[in-house]
Amino acid sequence: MLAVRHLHKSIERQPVLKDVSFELRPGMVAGLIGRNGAGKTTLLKTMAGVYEPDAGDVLLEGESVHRRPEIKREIVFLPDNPEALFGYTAEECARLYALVYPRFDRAAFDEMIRRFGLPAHRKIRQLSRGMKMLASISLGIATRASYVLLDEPTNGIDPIAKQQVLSLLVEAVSEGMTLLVASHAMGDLERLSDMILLIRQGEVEIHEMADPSRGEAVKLQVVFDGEPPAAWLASPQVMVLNHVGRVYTLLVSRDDGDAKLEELRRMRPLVLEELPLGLEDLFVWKHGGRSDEDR
Amino acid sequence: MRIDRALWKREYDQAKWIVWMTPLAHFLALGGNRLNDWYLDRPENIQDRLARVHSHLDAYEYGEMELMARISLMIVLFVLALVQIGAERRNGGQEFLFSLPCSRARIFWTKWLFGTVLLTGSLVLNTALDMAIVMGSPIAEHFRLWYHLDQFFFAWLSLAAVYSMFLFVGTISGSLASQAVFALLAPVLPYLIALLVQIGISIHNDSVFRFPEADYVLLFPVRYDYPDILAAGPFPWIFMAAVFAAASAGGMIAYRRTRAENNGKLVVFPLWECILQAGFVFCSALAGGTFTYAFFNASSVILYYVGLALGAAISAWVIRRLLRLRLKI
Repeated sequence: MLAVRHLHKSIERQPVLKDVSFELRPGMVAGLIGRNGAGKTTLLKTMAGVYEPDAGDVLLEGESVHRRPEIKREIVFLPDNPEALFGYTAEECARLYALVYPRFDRAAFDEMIRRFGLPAHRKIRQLSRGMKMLASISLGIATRASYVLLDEPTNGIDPIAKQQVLSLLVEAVSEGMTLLVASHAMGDLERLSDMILLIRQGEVEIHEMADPSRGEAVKLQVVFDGEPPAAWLASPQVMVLNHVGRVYTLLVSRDDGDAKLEELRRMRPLVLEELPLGLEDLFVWKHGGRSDEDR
Repeated sequence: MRIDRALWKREYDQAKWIVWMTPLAHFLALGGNRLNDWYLDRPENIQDRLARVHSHLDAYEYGEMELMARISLMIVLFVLALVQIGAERRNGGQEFLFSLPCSRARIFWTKWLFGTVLLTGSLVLNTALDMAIVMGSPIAEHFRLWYHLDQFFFAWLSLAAVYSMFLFVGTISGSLASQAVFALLAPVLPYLIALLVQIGISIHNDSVFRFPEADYVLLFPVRYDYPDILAAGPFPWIFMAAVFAAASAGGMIAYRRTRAENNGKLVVFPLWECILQAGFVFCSALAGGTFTYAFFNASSVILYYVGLALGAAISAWVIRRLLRLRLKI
């Protein structure tokens, strides 16, 4: 198990991570979401040992990855741009990784680059962005490390490359790897993840995908009978996600139990239907739909 | 260990052109020059040159070729230190290395050892070649084994000391550009500070100005020269060894504690930011005072203080802005 315990990290005297704690169980996929600059990359880099924490620790099977870095043979960090490998060909990368990671599966790597049509003897620098990510993820998976930390693996790549990246990740999970994927692609995370880590104002909230809102909110489609209740809609527990004609898509918080829902029911709307709450809804709800906070 | 092989491979991969350039540049400055003088030149020139040789020091041209070789090696090692530390902060190499399953101490040790082995290898190879060239040349009768050994050990220690200093400067600098500037400045900084302080003192007590001791210049391969080094006694050797040990240990400590999140800044440690800020203001103030005093041919010490205050104020403003920068190179 990879456990993050009470992690604190400040950059330029600004706290980026504040008492962050969570655990990654073997074989699970965790999605890491948050606004730009919320601290997703800082968290991944601190977990990988690139950054030293100000306080707290990252424990692999109970041992600190910062005090005993050799145990990081079981953790691979794949940044959003593999620029450290730009001077290598895929073939040379494989030879380097084989020296670092004792279980590196050369046959599996060769099979992956053959399947995705990646040129083995061209410098990574010369590949397209999608190919770079495929090469990087293929290397990460071929290490057979137990934990793979991915930063924006599908960012800026075309839909076909994206599908290929996602299929690689699904294969990795089926082989028992644990993935922590930082991404803004909510749809992809929704399909992949067992758990969502939402990072906001330096703190991490854990949401299981079975019930992303943890029962704290409900998503509704409502058509009011007559004039919409402006005061009710403006209350802090209600968020209007969408409004087309008379049809409102709402998120109603259950902070104070079902009081707001009861008020709504008493208004006898023409349509009142509960919708499944998606990751994007959760994200918007947690950030209050505002565009300039949580930086 | 496999991880050590991986680290060595990584160092070689990113600096392979330097690895091949080092012995070549060394050879061109030393053996190549000797070949030119005693084998390839026109016979009458060689005869003229030979006629002027009365001692082994004449034959070895008082170590001039070795001095050129040390300068070439110093430039190569300066570039190597930039590639090993500063460039890695920019190209993601450092983050890649820090994510690998090995300690930062081990990564730094590999870097330091890589440069030191490269230096040693080039010195062994080129000293052997030079000895062979001398023994087969018209000055063979002046061949002295101890001369070559003296030059070898002096070159090794002086260059290892400055290389360790370049690496140490890299471990506290936040970018390639700041490492380059600080690495060029660091070896002459003690001399510049001593010079400015001495000027300030002589202005105040009307004493005769004297240039500071040249030992304040830490560019050892150039500062000390053969045969002076032999006459100077043990001090230069001890001094170079002390700088070598301190810079190597300092580099190791700083690299282990480096704050990768500050890459791009002038320096990566808050403590060194304070030192840089204070040092920059101090030196600029002294330089400002010296400038106004000398420029206006002043008779009063008040002008010195005007320049001092202006220098301090302007430099404090400049350094505050520079410390906020995130450099792209």
